[in-house]
Amino acid sequence: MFKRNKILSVIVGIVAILGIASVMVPSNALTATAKTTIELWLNKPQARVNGETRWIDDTNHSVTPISKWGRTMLPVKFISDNFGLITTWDGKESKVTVMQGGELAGTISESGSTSVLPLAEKFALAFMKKNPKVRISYTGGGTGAGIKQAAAGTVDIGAASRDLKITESDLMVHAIARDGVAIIVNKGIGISGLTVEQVGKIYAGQISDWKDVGGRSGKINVYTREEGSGTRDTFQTFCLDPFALKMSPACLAKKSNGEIQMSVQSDPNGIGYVSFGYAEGVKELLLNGKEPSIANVKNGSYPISRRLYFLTKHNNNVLVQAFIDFCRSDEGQKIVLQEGYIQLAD
Amino acid sequence: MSKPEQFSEKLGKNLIFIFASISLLILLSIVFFIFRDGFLAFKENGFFHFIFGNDWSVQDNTFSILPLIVGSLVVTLGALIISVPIGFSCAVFLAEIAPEKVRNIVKPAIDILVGIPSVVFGLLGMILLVPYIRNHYGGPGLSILTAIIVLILMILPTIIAQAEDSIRSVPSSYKNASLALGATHLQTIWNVILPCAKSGLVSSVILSSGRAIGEAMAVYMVIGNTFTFPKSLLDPSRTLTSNIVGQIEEATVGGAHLHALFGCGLILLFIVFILNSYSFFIKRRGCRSC
Amino acid sequence: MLTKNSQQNLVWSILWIITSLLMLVLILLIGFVFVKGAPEMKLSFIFGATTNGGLMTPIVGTLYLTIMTLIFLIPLSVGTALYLSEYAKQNWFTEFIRYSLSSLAGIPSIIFGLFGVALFVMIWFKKASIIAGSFTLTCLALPFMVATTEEAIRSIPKAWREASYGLGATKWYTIIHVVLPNATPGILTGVIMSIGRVIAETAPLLATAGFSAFLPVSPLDGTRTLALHLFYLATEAPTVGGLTRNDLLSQAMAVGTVLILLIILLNFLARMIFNHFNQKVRGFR
Repeated sequence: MFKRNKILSVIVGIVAILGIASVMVPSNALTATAKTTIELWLNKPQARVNGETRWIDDTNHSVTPISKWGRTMLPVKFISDNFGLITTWDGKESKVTVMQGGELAGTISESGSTSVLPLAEKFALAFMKKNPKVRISYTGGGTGAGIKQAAAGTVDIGAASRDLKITESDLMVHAIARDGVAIIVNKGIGISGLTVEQVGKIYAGQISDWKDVGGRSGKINVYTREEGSGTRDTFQTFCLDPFALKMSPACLAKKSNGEIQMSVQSDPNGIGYVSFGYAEGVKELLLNGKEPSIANVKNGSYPISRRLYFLTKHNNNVLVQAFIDFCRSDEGQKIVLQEGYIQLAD
Repeated sequence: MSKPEQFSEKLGKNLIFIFASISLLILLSIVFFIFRDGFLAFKENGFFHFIFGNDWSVQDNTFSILPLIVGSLVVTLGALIISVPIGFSCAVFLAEIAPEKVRNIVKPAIDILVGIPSVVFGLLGMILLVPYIRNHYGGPGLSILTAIIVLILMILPTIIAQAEDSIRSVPSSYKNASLALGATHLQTIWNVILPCAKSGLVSSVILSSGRAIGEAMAVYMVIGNTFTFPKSLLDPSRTLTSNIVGQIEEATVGGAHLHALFGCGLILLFIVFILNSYSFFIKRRGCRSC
Repeated sequence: MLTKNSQQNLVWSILWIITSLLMLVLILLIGFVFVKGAPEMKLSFIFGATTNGGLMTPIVGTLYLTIMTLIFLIPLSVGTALYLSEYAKQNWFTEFIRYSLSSLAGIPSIIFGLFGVALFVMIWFKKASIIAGSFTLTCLALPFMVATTEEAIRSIPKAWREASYGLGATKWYTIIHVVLPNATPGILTGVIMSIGRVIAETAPLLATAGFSAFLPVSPLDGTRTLALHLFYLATEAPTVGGLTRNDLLSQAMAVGTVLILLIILLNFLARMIFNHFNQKVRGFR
């Protein structure tokens, strides 16, 4: 019931909870007097924040307020997150700490995916603004490097833009955003969509002319990412592997989302794949008839989507956990939306 | 010597010795790492397979670099073939023909051009050259031809500066003697000055060929980076250096991938070494009396 | 068949044309960089925080990295050069070191990047950082600096040393008070040229210097240099906040302009010192 890595239901050492007049009320519905209003019900896994219904824990739908020892016990993390506080769990000492912002101090080092880089920078900026004594540094290096460095402990957080492989599973995985991979083409190409299989065949070298997929005549210039890129891995998982296709060595390799976007923007015959946030100045294709939109990723109808992760070792410290919690909180998720990515919660 | 003098004498000598040893250590460790990791690549992939095979795949853990070797050689030789004649011509012009005023403007400009970062040339190539070649000659624009042109622009200043130096360092007595014997300026240049400047001219070629084959960033930005053999000048390709640029960040985790990149580096060094030795022989056969 | 004179005139004309065309092309290219970068050459861009799209972090990073490199480079190279020219017996061993150093000078810079990753990033410092980057650059610039320094030291007439010994000075005293002060202009020129090279390098720093957008504080932080930032703007940078790819390319050109201006400045400085002290310095172009 008490998950090791989830901060739930243990009210120990509450330092300060802003805006809550009273929590321990032996009744069925509880409200707090604050600018934010949270409503919870005994034994119900959903609560209302400012009128909006949400899951108390959206990865575990059985977390609810409960009645124990003649008291109503509430999930601390949910409440504190929604009141803008920072709650952290120290696994070693089984300790919960709730703090207001500004009290955290220390350094966090991150590295990894270039797809996540713009988002991670904005996260770090916002967090450092709230907690001026904290310093965060982010180095690129690619998803592979981020995973390995997180596992080796040389950075606190590794950023990945693909799911972990079985061999990499010794890390704690925190999803921080969702993302889609858009197939982009030049604006003048004259095609509006393709099937996933067609895209796969183009990248495998089996379809080489635009007229074979409904466009005008012209040799397709195929742009891809270098190996090790999480975006490339995601693309491969969805567009090549299901059809037993392999990426052709004749694809023009680029090092980053930005390069692919730029190449496709200027090459009338170009095709490429980028993270949603990078699809500017180009045309995004419909895949299997579905538009590459945030809504379609959320409802699962757009074929290529993925989560972006922060990875840590299992015994991460209070500061790191606070930062990750911040990224996953409402405030953090607002940043996700601003940067062109997709929020975690529906 | 008094005691404090003795002390500082000893201190100075030891300090210097330590610094020199560190330099030597650096030298040795560079050699050590390149050869060790390079040979690991040979071992992991089979020497002949690594050099003569044609598949490079990180997820399949197999690496071979023949297309890269071909790409590097084609691009370098292409750039040299054009740059050397033009470079030497400009050098002769600057050293012998141009009026003092012209030389005082052009020579500093050339020196500055030598120092301009390669990314700037790569950027120019990407923005100007790639679309131009794509629109007027076909292909994706990212190609061997684009890389050759960018390299020519980069190594010409180097060739001109070095060659001009060596031409100027030919003793003027030779030149005067030739002119006194009735030869024209042109004949003097062709028959006396150039042969005497041979060793310097050859080193300028070596230096530029080293720079051409070792150029990574600018080439990466314009060559397309495919793992295929180029069949025409307009085809994209990949060089040993651009491969390292493209993959080094993903390979910082070590393992076979990093070793393969070191293998690229080792082969690259090998090619540079061959180029240097070849020019060394040319120097030897040159004008002994100069 | 043309007369000798008309032959010569023809060749002269061809050479004039070739050189002029070449210079024209190169000047136009540089001019293009300046022109395309001009819209972005605002103070707010150059001195703005990098997380907002400004150049503060690359500027500070470049300074930090360069100074740190020089801290290691100068003692090492001066020490080695002194050893080779003053202390060591001139035998096969010193010749071997000199030959090795000059071969090292011919190694492409990307290989130093590989070496830096394998040794400094993976083994010593465990992360890409300013100190790993500066160690890498030190290795890169070492051969040139040692050669230049040795040349400067050797160009001091033996007579001066003899005079110093004759007056009773020790070897070390002679080095400090006679040799080094007079070799300083040559060494300084070498330093300036090394700075020029360090600023222009991108490949060795790609994976060794880190890539943080925040201002670096400790040497273990990652950072960017102007050259790296140029590469980033031209390739990876995301088109967020209303920026188009074209804007980013203009920004890249602006960074290029800054770099070119820096190179011009350094060249000018080196030339001034060179002329002022009239030492013969072998350029390593």
